[in-house]
Amino acid sequence: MLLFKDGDERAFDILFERYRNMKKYTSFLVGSEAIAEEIFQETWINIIRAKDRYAATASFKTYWFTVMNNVVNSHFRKPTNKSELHISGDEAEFGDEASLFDSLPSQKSGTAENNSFLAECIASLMKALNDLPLDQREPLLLKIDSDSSIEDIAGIMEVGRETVKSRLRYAMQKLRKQVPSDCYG
Amino acid sequence: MVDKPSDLEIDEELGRLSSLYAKIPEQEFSPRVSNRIRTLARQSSRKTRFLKFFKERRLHLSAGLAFALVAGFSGMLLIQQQPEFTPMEITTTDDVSALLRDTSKILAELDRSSIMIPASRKFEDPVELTNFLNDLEDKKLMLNEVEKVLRARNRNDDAAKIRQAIQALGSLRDTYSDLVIDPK
Repeated sequence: MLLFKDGDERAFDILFERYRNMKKYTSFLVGSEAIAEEIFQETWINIIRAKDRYAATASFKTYWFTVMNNVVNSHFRKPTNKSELHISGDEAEFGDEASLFDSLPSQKSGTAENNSFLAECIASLMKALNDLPLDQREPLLLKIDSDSSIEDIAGIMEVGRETVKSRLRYAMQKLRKQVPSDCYG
Repeated sequence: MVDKPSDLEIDEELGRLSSLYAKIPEQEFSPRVSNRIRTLARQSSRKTRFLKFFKERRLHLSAGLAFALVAGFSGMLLIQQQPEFTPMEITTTDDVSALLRDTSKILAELDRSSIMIPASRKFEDPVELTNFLNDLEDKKLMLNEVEKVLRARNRNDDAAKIRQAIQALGSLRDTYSDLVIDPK
């Protein structure tokens, strides 16, 4: 990032390559692929525009997620976008179970039955994630998608460490009710 | 009363959840989004290099004059957010006089404006690059004539600024040669 700040556009290409495959994370975070595109683009635009003020006080990963967190919060603060926060798992704009089944990597055990069970598990996880409120969904996704530490999540969301842990506990409780325990096997 | 799970239990559960989540196929954003982001990054980098170029060489060229020269001569720069302030074309000594009169205004505009080099000018085509560099060279020759006129009219201060501008233009030409020849 410091090289990009200094005008090196190849440094930006390297950064961008690292974070370009964030569609899954962003789509789950905001509950819609279309909004995810908007949020992802806005995140990078903010990073590019603020590059002259960038100071390496944390890892770029933390910085990136912090900028995205701010963009998401700004997006949902707008009165016209508030209703999007209440998209339920059923309404979220993701592929249906059949297309999910087709896109799953073939499993080693390989039977159609196994793949069908996996598709059901994933579908229930997707619905459960989308049913979570944003303040629980975000720390959970930061943990399971990017393996962020509790401290990093606290910094990104600008809340205390214990708040993050508490939100994660609530999120897990809700997921336990919706995702069959067999799915974790 | 429900037992509160320990940190370790939560970590284990999150680990299992991560494994399941990892099985959801990755997706990519549309090329349109990626292209727009990369274009903005390129424009921003070039702006930084452009400003650094002047700073590093400690050119005492007035910022307004430099701006107008580059904008007017190369036709490469766009002024954003200031639609009333269009790039100037300097073709006569009167243009130069007007420019010098308006230097303070231009400086203020420059401070507030964002200078962007359109991403379309990537000079992937060697012919386009050659034309661009030749154009800069032509403009330098034209400025030499402007300088002569100013000196003949004893406007030596203005002529000195034009001389600096000519030198800056030459350096700019070299810089862009470096930028565009640099292979990706």
